[in-house]
Amino acid sequence: MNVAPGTHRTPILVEVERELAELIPGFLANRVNDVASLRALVSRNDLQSICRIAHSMKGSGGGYGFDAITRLGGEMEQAARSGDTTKVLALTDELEDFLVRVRPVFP
Amino acid sequence: MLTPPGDVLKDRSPPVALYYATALFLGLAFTLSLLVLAWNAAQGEQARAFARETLAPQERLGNRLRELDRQLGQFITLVQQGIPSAVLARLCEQARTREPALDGFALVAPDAGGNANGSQNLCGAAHDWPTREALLGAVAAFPESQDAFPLRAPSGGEGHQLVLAQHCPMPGSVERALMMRIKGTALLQGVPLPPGLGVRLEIESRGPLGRVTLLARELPARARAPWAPSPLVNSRLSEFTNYAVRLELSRAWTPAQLDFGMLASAAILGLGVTLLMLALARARELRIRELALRNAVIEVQVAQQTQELAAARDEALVAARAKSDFLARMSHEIRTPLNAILGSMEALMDTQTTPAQSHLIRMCERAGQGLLVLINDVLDLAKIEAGQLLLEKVEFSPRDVLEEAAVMHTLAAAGKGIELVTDLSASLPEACQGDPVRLRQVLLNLLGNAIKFTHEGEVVLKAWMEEASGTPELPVLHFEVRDTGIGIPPEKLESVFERFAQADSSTTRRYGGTGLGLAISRELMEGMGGRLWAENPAQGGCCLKGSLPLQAMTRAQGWAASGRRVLLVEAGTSQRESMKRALESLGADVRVGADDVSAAGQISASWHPALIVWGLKHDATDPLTALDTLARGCPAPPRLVVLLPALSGDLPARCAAAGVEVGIKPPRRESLLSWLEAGATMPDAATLLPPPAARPASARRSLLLVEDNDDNRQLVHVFLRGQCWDITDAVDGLEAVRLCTEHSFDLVLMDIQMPRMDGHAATHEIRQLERASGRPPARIIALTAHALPEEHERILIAGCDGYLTKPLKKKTLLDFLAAELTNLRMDPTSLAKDATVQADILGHG
Repeated sequence: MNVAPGTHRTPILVEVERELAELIPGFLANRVNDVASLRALVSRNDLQSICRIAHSMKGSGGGYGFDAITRLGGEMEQAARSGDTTKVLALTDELEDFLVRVRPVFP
Repeated sequence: MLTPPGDVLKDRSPPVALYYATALFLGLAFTLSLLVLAWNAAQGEQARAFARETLAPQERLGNRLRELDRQLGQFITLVQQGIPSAVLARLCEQARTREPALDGFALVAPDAGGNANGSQNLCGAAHDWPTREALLGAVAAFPESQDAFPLRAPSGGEGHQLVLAQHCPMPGSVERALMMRIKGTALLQGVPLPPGLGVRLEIESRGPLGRVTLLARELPARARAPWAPSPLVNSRLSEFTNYAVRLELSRAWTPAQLDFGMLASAAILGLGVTLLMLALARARELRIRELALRNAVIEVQVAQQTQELAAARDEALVAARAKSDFLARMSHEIRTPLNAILGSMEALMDTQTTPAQSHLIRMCERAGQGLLVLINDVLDLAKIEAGQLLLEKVEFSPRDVLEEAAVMHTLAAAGKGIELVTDLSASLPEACQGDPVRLRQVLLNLLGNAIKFTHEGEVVLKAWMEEASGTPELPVLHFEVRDTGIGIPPEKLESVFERFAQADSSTTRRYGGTGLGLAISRELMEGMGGRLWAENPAQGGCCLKGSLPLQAMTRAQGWAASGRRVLLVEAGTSQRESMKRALESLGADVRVGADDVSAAGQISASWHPALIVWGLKHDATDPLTALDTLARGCPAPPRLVVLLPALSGDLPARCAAAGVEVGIKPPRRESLLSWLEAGATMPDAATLLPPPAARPASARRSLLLVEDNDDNRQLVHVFLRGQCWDITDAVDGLEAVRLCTEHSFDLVLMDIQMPRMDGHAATHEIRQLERASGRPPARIIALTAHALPEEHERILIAGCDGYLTKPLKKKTLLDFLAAELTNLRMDPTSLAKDATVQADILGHG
């Protein structure tokens, strides 16, 4: 990632169910991998794979409490379907920014 | 694709050459006939002119000949009388001088050979003149046998002197030897003859001379112009006793002498007619061309219009699809964040908040819920408009549907202090066939509306069944929702059913709402074959009435009079009357009182209740003391029930402590029945409490989780930790099908979008597998991130029993599985549709 976590950006606090605590790091790490994969796929113009990753993000994010990831996934799926790689890249950046700033909070 | 107009013309051009040839032929034939006629007319004119020209010479000739003939006659008479020759000679001389054409008379003496050449000129010198005797002698010498003198044409003498023999039929007559000599040239003397005229004068006698030409002047132009038309000829024969003279006049003529004005007129007229005919042919050709062109243009236009129509239809179809798609996507895109907002609000409410914060959070939540309702309404309407409204035909209890609809609004009504009354007739059948989900949707809408627009008073849901009037007709379910609210102006009674229409636009500001509820309800009712309309009752408020033909499956249940005595204490008149009717229809002996005092008056030694039902208004005081007093008035302690508008506050707990059962207004028939049953002590309130989210893991249930996404699988595992579900994982459809061949599962959570084999195909395979092996079907619940209604329908068509929308929320999943557990306990195969509906509601909520 370009920016070290929590350097100068406002953290985003996301409330996550306590019982999911053990899963969160793995989930977020997978999303960080997704960011790298997405960038690579955009350079290869592999829209189908982008679509798959985006759809998966859309379907899983909210379950963990990360509704933003579901939203980004949905938008990205649309963008990939319409072949808008610029939008995909922008959304990938947004995802990265979110991952950098997110702070899971357990009630 | 389209034929260019030019080609069409070429293909269809008429035989133009034929038209032109006919026109030309007819025109030329006409011209020719006209010219021939004109020529003939012109020639006739010439001939007439010539005939007039020849009249004068012919008459003159005729006159002279008659004169000569008379003189010949006189002379013969004189000769016969024996006039001396000298006198005859003198007379002859006088005749010759007076008449220039007469050369004189002659006596002819035939020679021995019979020839008449021995002629003598009588008109010569007087001495020549023979005596009478000589003359008679000469005559006598003539052979009797001869018919005529053998005369010769005169030779010598002057010019065209001709001799005419007068012969007499009497033999021996003097006339036989007498001749008249005529000067042919002088016959026509004194007649003006034009220079170009041909003249021919011939004399015919009965004598041996035959025809002799007296005069001939040939036409000068005859030989020179071989192509000239034949000359004009006019001849006239003057006949006398012994001879005839023929005058033939001829004149050459050239066409140049004809009247060219007439010929030219004829030619011009003919040519004009020819041109006219050609013009007609041309006009016809143009007409045909124009027609062909017009036809071609029309054909092209029709083809274009057809294409345009097809294009328009395609566009409309695409637009309709796009609209449906757009709505689904939009709703999904709005619902996802909205769910997040609502979830966050819910979570926030559970945290420590100040009253002000709670208020704000509630406002947020209410707004969010309103937005969700709007989105669902819009989707519903879109679905109905797109003709995607699929009506079910299942057996259901109309009473249940009506009661459930009322129960779902008890909280709202209680919150506003409105009495909610259900007045359901005993005529309602136990089971009908139809679509309970849509009916419930309509009822919920109507009740929701009524409560929204009512500030005080009551909302009454009344329903009854009208028996079918004939065999082909179905029994009709009538229902009405009457309120004591603001009412609808009479002129707006119809327009409230229009989309986004409320009776008054200001109501939108005051009461909120989308204005779609009634429109959807009417569409639904009409879709089911029923009607929905609004009326204004005399007592104010408004009344929405519906009628719906329904096939009755099980008739209304009758209840024998049990004689069980019930004392009903209820302040509200409508509520009291409807509850009294309901209890009486169940066989009870009911007495009523508006308050504790009037109720106490009903109790006597001969009539005391086994059950006292006390209906409580939302702002009523604690009824327990009064109830206790009433109960004490009875010889045997009656069963006591308090009906509350809502289960709130500490009253339910205090009632339970006092041994008083608690129910909710309006009571359901089941509740009334259970209270009427002797000895039952189970507190009814328990059945009204929401079911516990997690059920005891008394029986383990197997669950197959088909999900390619690792994160989501883990999530479900964590959510279901400590539950009764034994989870088996499958990472795609293929693995799921394989697992299903080896094991059977109670429930399958099936992701739809997966690599290798997707959820649709896997479900299809599993269903086939189950049919083949005859084992009971597993409940298959789809997991989908799509909000498209089409997608949801596809899921159900593929064989799924219901669906959950992703992302999965813990509460949604647990509630849903709890409901599934209930279904599994009751009957694994039934209630499939209810699960779908519930899933739908949960998915939306």
